[in-house]
Amino acid sequence: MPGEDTSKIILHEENCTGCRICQFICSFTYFKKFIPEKAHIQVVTHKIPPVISFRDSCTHCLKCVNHCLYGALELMEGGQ
Amino acid sequence: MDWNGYTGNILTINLTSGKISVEKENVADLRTFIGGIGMNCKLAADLIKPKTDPLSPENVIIIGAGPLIGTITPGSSRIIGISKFPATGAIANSCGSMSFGYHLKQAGFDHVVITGKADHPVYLKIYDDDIELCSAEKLWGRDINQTTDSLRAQYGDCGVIAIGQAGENLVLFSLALVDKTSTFGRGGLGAIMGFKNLKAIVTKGTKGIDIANPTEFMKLYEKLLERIRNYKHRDNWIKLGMLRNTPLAAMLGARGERKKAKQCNERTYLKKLKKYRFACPSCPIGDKDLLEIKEGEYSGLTNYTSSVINPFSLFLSKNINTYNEAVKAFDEMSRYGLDSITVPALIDFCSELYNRGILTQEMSGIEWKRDFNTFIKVIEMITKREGFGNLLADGWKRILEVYEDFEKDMVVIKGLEQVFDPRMLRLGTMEFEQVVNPKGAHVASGGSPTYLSPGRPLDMFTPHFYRMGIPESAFKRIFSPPRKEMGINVGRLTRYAEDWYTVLTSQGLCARAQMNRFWGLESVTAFYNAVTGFDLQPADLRLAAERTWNLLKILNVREGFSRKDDKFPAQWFKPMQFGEMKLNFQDFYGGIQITPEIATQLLDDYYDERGWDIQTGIPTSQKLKELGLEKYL
Ligand code: SF4
Ligand code: SF4
Ligand code: SF4
Repeated sequence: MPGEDTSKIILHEENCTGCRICQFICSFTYFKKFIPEKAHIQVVTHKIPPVISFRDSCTHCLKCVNHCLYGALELMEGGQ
Repeated sequence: MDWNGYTGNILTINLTSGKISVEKENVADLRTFIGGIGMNCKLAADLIKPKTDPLSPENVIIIGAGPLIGTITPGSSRIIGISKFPATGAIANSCGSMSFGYHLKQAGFDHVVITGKADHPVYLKIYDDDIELCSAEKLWGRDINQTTDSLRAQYGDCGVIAIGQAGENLVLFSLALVDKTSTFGRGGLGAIMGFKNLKAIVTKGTKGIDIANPTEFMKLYEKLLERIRNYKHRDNWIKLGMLRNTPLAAMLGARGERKKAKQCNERTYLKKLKKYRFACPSCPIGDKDLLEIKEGEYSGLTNYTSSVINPFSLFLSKNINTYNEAVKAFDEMSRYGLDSITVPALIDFCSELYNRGILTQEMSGIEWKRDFNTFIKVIEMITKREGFGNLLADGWKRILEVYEDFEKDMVVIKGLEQVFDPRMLRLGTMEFEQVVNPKGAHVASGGSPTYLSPGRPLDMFTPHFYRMGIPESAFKRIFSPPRKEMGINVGRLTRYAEDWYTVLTSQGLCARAQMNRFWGLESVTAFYNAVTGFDLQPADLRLAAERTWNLLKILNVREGFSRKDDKFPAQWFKPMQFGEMKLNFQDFYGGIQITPEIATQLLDDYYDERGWDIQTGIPTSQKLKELGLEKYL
């Protein structure tokens, strides 16, 4: 379930390639290692399109949004 | 010791006894043989006894995932497998992409070593520390997509290497697919797994990868990401993938096949076939394709592939006339696990024998028509080893024993048919590498600035040479070809193309053009050091790559390979004729026709650049000493 803050992130799952870059950057920021399993964003990559969800623990730091290069995560206007 | 980048673990499974063991990697080895391809070769040298039968319990499959895999490093998902391959008898490496390496590393392993033979069909499950051989009775007989889907229904997101019916039936040129998308093991990995009763390997990991120097790593990463973000062709690469720079349409045009050339383009791809774009873990320029046939008899058929150019390549077959036929035939081969380069070449060969009256319908049980239905029928015959398909399934070596008079007509090198014909594409390093690669005709490890750009201006080479870490002292030799007009000595340059490929492959980095261009020997070294905590110089990485390639060569010298096997196909010296038009074997600049004498000189130059004996094509004892490899030969 999206946490309250992440509702400001608009998902465009149809653009998601399953690259997991969002999970890599999130986990590295919060756990100091590359452990996508623990990231606050989860992506089920073998589905087409991949299924993206946020954990309640997400801090809304938007790192994942800034690192997604495919336009699958977008900040809602005025959402900062 | 703390393991960073590397997990430090080698997982060994003996399929005969069912024994599973984990060993720690030796740090001294990691300094000598770096990463995926380096340690793969070292393990192969230790574990595969010379003259092992590829289809025997003694043959070993080793899969390596380099130190950058499982991290955010752009394009770090490339695994490498080594084994003794049945189609060629060579000990060779083969790469695959997608998520297997990511999951394997996350599960805590750098290498998986598989020996023995199970007494019933099994699949290997590697889920963190939960490692198990599970019954695959229910999966046996099913195709690669069914197998992968079934495992994913059970395990969710996971990396899967699976074989199809071709592997089960020991078709000698069968391969495996990673995540039903990326081919893995050209030369017969499918049959090796099939012989071992190993239907699939499934892995899922949740342990994470540690980084030695996080601050330095993030600095390097952000800088590289900025370059990738600002790369002006990035969107176009994502839109078109490898279709962006394939010479296929031009090749078809040159052959006068205008109808096909017109289909082999962006419009067909985007409007008629493309369904979804996906990417390997960590890739910011993803180019994997989910295709869908949208009309006609096969409407609704979907195909996962590492690029639309794979099915489009089938347009080169006289049996394929439409894009839907191409996708259907390609999909059929993928599901069964057949090499889609080998099958059309075999069909060409048999059709030719048939036309000459050497092969009759009675003998082969099939009328060799140049149409789609024949193509599909042959796929079935080979996969199931039905009738004449039983001979074809044994691959070129066996076929050319039966039809030995035709060896001169075939463009087959060490048991594998060519991938790139230099009469179409001129002689770059990829074309040349097909002759010298220990594996047989293989192009991936021959990438250099000659890739798909015949005639590229000479002054564009030097910056790439610096990037690839070619020592300046070699520049002059590389710019000294056998004839001045040739501009570049592809024999000498091929040595450095192989070494550069080895550097990328040691780390697990993608070698495709759109990713390769962002890397140089220095940046790879910087990432390697930041991730692993080693303190290497670029020259160390280069030397390790050279050592690795020499060891790979030695493994094959032990199998009896030498210069006699590095043969330029006789066909290359004859023009390719299409109607009125003739295509000759030309140098990279198209000014010179390559004669057998020039080819011989280029081969001499390749060995010389490698420091190998020119007469035998084997590493000299001095070279082995220099690289610390004496004990292996
Ligand atoms: S949301 Fe973006 S970064 Fe995350 S997996 Fe999808 S495409 Fe990659
Ligand atoms: S917003 Fe920040 S905390 Fe939330 S998923 Fe993205 S990177 Fe993680
Ligand atoms: S370019 Fe293609 S093969 Fe290479 S990492 Fe990206 S998606 Fe994978």
